[in-house]
Amino acid sequence: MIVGLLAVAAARLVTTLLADRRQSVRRRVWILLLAPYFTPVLLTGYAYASFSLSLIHHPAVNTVFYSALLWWKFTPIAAVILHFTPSPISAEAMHCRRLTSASSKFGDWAFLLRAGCARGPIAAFTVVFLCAFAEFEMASLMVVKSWTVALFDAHAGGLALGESLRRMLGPLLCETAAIATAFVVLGRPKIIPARRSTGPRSHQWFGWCHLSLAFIFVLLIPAAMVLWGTLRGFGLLLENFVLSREIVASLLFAAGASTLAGLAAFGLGAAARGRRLAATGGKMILLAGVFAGLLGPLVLSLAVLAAVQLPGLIWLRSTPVPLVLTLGMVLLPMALVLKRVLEMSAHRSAFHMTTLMKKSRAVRELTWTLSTSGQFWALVLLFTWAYWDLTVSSILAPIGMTPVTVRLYNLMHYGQIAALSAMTCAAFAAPISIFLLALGTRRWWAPR
Amino acid sequence: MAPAHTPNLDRGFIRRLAALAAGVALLFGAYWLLWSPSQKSLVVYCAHDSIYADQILRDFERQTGISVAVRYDTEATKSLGLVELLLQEKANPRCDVFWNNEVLGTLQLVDEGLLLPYRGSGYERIPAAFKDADGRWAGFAARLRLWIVNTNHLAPTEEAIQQASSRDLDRMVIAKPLYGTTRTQYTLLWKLWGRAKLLAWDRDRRARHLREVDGNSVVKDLVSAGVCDLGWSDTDDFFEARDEGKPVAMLPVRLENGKTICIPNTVSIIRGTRHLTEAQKLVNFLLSEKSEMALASAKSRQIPLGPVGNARLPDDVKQLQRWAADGVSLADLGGANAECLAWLKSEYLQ
Repeated sequence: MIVGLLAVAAARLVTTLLADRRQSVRRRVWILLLAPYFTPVLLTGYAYASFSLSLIHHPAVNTVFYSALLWWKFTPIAAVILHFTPSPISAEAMHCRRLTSASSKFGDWAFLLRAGCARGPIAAFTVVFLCAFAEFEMASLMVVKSWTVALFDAHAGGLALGESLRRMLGPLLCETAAIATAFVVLGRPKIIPARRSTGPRSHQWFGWCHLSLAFIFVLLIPAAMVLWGTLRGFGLLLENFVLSREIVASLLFAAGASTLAGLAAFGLGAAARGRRLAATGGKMILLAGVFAGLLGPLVLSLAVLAAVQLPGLIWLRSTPVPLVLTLGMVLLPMALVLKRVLEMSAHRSAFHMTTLMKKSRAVRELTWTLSTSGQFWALVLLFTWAYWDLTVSSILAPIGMTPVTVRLYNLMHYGQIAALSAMTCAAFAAPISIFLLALGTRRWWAPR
Repeated sequence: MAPAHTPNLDRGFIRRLAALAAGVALLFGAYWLLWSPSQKSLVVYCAHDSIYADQILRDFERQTGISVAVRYDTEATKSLGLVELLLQEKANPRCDVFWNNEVLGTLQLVDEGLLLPYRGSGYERIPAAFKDADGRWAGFAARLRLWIVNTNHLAPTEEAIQQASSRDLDRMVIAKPLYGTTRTQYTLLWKLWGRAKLLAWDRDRRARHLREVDGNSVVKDLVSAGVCDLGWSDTDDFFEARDEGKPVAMLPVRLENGKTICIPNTVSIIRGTRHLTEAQKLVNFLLSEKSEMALASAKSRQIPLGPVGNARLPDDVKQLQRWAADGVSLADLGGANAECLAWLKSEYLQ
C-alpha cells in the first residue's frame, strides 16, 4: 500500500513534466519514465541479489531498498494512468471557484471529489497496488520474505492445493477489492478533461529527480553489471549458445498468451456489448476468466497442474496449452484495465475526422495514432509481462519446452558469472528485436 | 458528436488479433515439429545442477542415439519440488528416470512404491552402503557436507569452529533444512539423537540467531564475501568459491560418532515407464565409471563411489575420497526420514 501511495504521489509530479510544451522534453520524460518499467524484474533482481545478501544482518534495510525499487519500477504505471485520466477541473477553474465562493479547504476537496478528480489517482493506486502486492521474482532473488515467496516455497515443500487456496484467500480478497475499485472508478461516465498544467518548478525538479533515480537504479546499474559480465562472457556465449530454444519457446508462449488475453478483453468485451444472449455469454466467460486471473499465477498454475492430471485432460499436460491458457488468464484482469483506460482516452471525434480526409502517408500515420496505436501498445505491454513470467512457466511448461526465464532463474541462484550475464543479455535482446519487428507492422493494425 | 464506441474500429482490431493468433498457432506447430520431444524420448526428471547434468545427458544421447527430454528443478527448492511432482503424477507417470541429487527424496518415493527395481551392470559397481538392496535406487558421484570458513575471519581448525559455534551464531549461516543436503544432515541427527534432543538443539541455535537462507550456494556466497564467518555447505559449492579465488577453507562435518556425511546423487526408474529398456540404459550409463569420472573432473568435483582409475582423479577429489570412506550409511534411516520431514514441514510451511 505504501508503494502504491508513493507511486501515485510521484506519478502526479511526473505527469506535470508530460505537460511540457516542448516535444523533445516530453520524449525524454517518456523514455525515462517507461524504461524502468520495461526492465525485467529478473534483471534487476539478479543484479541486486549479491547486494541484498550482504544485507542479511540488516533485513529492514533490504526491505526498504526492495520497496524503493518497486516504487521506482511501478510509478510509470501510475503516471500513465494519471496521464490518460486527467483531472476534469483545472487549477485555473479552482482558482475562479475560490474567488466566487468562500468555501473551506474541506469544501474544495469535496467539490473536487464530486467532480471526479479522484478517479485517476484511485485507479493508479489500485493498479500499482496489484502489481507490487503480487510481485514474486525480485523478492525471491533479493531474499525478501513476501507472501508470494512464502507460498511458492510452501508449494515446493509439498503444501496441498486446498491449503494453498486457503492461504490465498486473504490476498485474493485484497486483489478483488483493488480490481473492483479500479473498475468502479474507471467505469463512471466520461468527463471532459481539463488542460494539463506544468506545475510549479519544485514539482518539476522532484519529478526529474525521481525519473533519474528510477532510471539509474532499476535499469542503468543492473544493465551495466550484466553488460560488464556479457563482455567477459560473450566468447563463451557464442561458443555454446544454449538458450536459443528457450528464448524461442518464451517468445511463443508470450505471443500466445498476450494474443489470447487481448482477444478475450477486446473480443469478448465487444461481444458483451452486443445482443442479449451473446452479451450474457461474453460477460460470463469474462467474469470467470477475471476471477481465475485474480487467483494469481501461483495458485492458478497449481490448480491447472492438478486439473491436467485428471484422466480426461491428461493429454494436455505435454502440450503448451495449459501454460498459454493460464498465462492468458493471469493477464486478463490487466488487459481489461488497459482496455478501459484506452476507451477513456480515445479521441473518437478526431479519428472520425481523419476518415474524411484524403488518403496520404501522413493521414495513415494519423489514423494509426488515433485508432489502434493504444491497443497495439497494450498488446506489447501484455507480451512483455508474459515473456518475463516465471511462476506459471516454472510450474506448467511442457517437458522439452523450457522458457528462458525458468532456465535463467535457476542459473541465477548460482551467483553472478560472466556467461550467465551474457545469457541474460541475450534473453533481454530477444523481445526487443521482436518489438522492433512488430513496430514495422504498425500500419497493418490501422483500419483501412 | 462521435459515438462512445465505434464497433467497426474494434471489429477490425479483433480480426487482426485473430489473424495474429492463427499465426502464433502455426509457429507453435512448427516449433513442435522441430524441437518437441517425440513419444520415443526418455523423460528424465533431474534435480542435479543443470550446468553439470546437461553435458552428461547429451553424452548419453550421442552414445546411444536415445533422445532425452529433461525437466530440471529450481535451485531454490532443490529436489523437493520434483519429488512432490512425481508423487502428484503417481497415477499417470510421465517421468521414466529420476536423477536426484540426494537420497531422502528418493527414499520417500521408495516408501510410496513409485520405483522399479533394476540391478544392471552399473548397480553392481556401487558399494552396498550407497544403494538399495532391492535395486530400487543406486547412488553415484557424491558430495560431502562440510564447514565452509572465511579464512580472513576465522582459522579453519576444528577448535576455532567449535568456539565460533558455541557463542552467538549471528555470523553463521546454513541453508533451510527443509530442502537438499541440509535436510539429510538434520535427518541423520534425528536418527542419532531422537526428536527431543534435535528440537532442543534447533531451538537453542535459533535463539542464538543462526542465519537460514535459501540454499547452499547462498551459504557459500555469504561466507566467501565475508558477510558471515562460517556455515554448512557442500563440496561442490566450496570448490566454486575457491576456484574464484575467495578466501575460503573447508573441514568435513563429522557426526558425534566421527562419521562424515557423504551424499550421493541417486538414480531410479519410475514404475510405469513406457521406455524400460532405454531407462535401464541410462541408469547403467549414469552409474558407469565414465560418468563418475566426468562428474569428478567437472568443477563440482563429485566423489566417485565405484572403482575408478585413481591416477586420473583430480587431487582435490582424492582427498575427498578419503573423507568419504568414513561416510555414514544413508540406506537405513528407518522412520527418521518421514518423521523429520513432517517436523520440518510443520516448522517451515506453517
